[in-house]
Amino acid sequence: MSQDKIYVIGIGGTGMRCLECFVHLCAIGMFDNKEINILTLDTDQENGNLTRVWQLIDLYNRIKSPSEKTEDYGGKPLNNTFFSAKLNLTKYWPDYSGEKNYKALARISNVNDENTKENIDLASLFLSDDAQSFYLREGYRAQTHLGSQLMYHAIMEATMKVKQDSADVKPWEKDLMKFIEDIGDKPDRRVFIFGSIFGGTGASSIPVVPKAFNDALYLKTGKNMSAKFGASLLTEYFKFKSPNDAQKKKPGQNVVADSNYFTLNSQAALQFYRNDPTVQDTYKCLYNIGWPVEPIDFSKNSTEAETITGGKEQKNPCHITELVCAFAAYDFINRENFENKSAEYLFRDVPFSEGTFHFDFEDMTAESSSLKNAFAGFYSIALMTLTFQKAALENTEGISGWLQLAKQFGYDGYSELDSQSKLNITNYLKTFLFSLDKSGHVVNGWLYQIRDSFNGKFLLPDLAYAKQWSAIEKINAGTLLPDTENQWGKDKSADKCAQQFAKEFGNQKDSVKEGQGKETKERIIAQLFNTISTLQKLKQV
Amino acid sequence: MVSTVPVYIISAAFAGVFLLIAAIISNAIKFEGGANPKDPGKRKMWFWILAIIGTIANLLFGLFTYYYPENNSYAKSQLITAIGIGAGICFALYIVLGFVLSATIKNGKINNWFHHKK
Repeated sequence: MSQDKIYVIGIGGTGMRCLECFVHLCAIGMFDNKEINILTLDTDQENGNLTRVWQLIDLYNRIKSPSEKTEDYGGKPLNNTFFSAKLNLTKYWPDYSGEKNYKALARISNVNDENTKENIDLASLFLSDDAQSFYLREGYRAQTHLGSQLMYHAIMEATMKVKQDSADVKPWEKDLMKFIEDIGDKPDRRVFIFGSIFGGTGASSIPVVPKAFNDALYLKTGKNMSAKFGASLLTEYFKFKSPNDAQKKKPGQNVVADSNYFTLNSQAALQFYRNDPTVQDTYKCLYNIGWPVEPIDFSKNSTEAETITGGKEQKNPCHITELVCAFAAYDFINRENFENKSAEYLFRDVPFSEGTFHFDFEDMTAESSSLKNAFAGFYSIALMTLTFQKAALENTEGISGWLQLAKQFGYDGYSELDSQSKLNITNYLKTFLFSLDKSGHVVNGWLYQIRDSFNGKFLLPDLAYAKQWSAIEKINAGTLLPDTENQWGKDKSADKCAQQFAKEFGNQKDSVKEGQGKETKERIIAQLFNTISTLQKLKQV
Repeated sequence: MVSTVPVYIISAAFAGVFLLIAAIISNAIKFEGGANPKDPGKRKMWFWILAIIGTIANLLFGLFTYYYPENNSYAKSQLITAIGIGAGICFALYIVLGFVLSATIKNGKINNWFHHKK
């Protein structure tokens, strides 16, 4: 297994949702013993998907933190358990607040100034007046020719400010530089980038980030970067309603991303990634991820009159393609060697016919046994905690219920676990699977969002994604895996499964090994992992 | 002179039968989830309800089904006394056996009769 240091970068709205999928893979325990440095790169710091992934990573880290002390935040890398990877988050965004547009950034807004006339002419050669005038606070709006230039400029400007120790250097600019310097010139570094290639921020940044990072490092330290870069080339898979004329007439809104062009954008981008020598030199692996059916409509249930191009409202549900991107990162991170000097283009296909897919564990990774255990195990614990332990409502927790039930079978442990930690673990399970709102309606968590994004089979039987609460309560967590030897709840009711789990949890009291964690929170999470692994008979504990 | 031994034997049998009913009911009560499950309390409650019902049933059984010699008031009073003592024995035996069972079967539903874990 590779010992390279891992860096993962999410760019733009799609990049953030890919990152969300990646964090959930970390939570189910797919990245044992790894310390992963995450960078979120977005032009729009209020973007709903960006704040959602920040909150998710924070929740993950609070679950892993053995204490409230700052130095303990995020815990440490562990082995053979849920939440095994340690995640370090760096946030960076170019400052496009207010009414900043290209003209303002390039200082070419004053047309009467003779000195700028030449620059205006130069800019006009490449960019339309509309492209130079729209407000950048909600991203590059599918104007990748402008976005690539601006993202490169933002990274280089941040580097200059940090190098010169400028008075107006922002904390997030310092953080970015720290991230770049940590990658440094060492070859044992792997950097994976998430983003779409058909939209705005991600599509603009994926081609330039390796070069910008290298140039920034050179500018700051005089060294060249020799890290291995990988990225997902995610083509069109969603759409939204086209902007109307009234919206385009608003100040700074003269360019609005139009999803009618996403197919064309994708085609052009793929040609670029296939032929561009800089891309081929800087990237080691490029994962082609496409969507062969009608794109999902993000405006479908929206009541907004205008096209949402960013901001708090852009909080789109996750999609299966984003999970596939997360598995691409899994492949890149665990890859043994990189023989090719130039970029390797990778893909795999999934059984598909008449508009329906058949996603199985083997389609996601070659290490399907590990995934089966982790995925079905985490799902089962989440399901039983939220249903049997009655923890699906807001501000309710289900860990006390397990400890109470385990006591009935003679196991009395973890009395020292504080209520906030129990609530954090339960909240993560709700984010992963589902929750109930005040009126008793099921609110889709991440996994339910993924399941809803396509037609067909998704890893577990269809009944595992029931929508009605009465049906959810009847799901038998012990019969979800296909092989009978892994079905620990066969011929049992959902209630009996929960009892069996609690009983086995007690039996596993001495099973937690040193690498699985020493602190109370680490031990209880590891004991839950050992319990479900023993029941599923998929992994030796 | 009447023999009171059968009265005591029947009282002991009552204790055993009602203890069995309590065990069946306790096992029929499902484990509940959540931080404050109600099921241990329910089992405990049914144990005590059956203790009272068993004792009263034993008393009523004695009073209404035994044969009382009409012309022997001494024997009659002796029998009634035995029925009262038998009911006491039934109650005491039920509690003692229940406690022993609860302490013996540490992991399970019967344990809740006397060891309601919080």
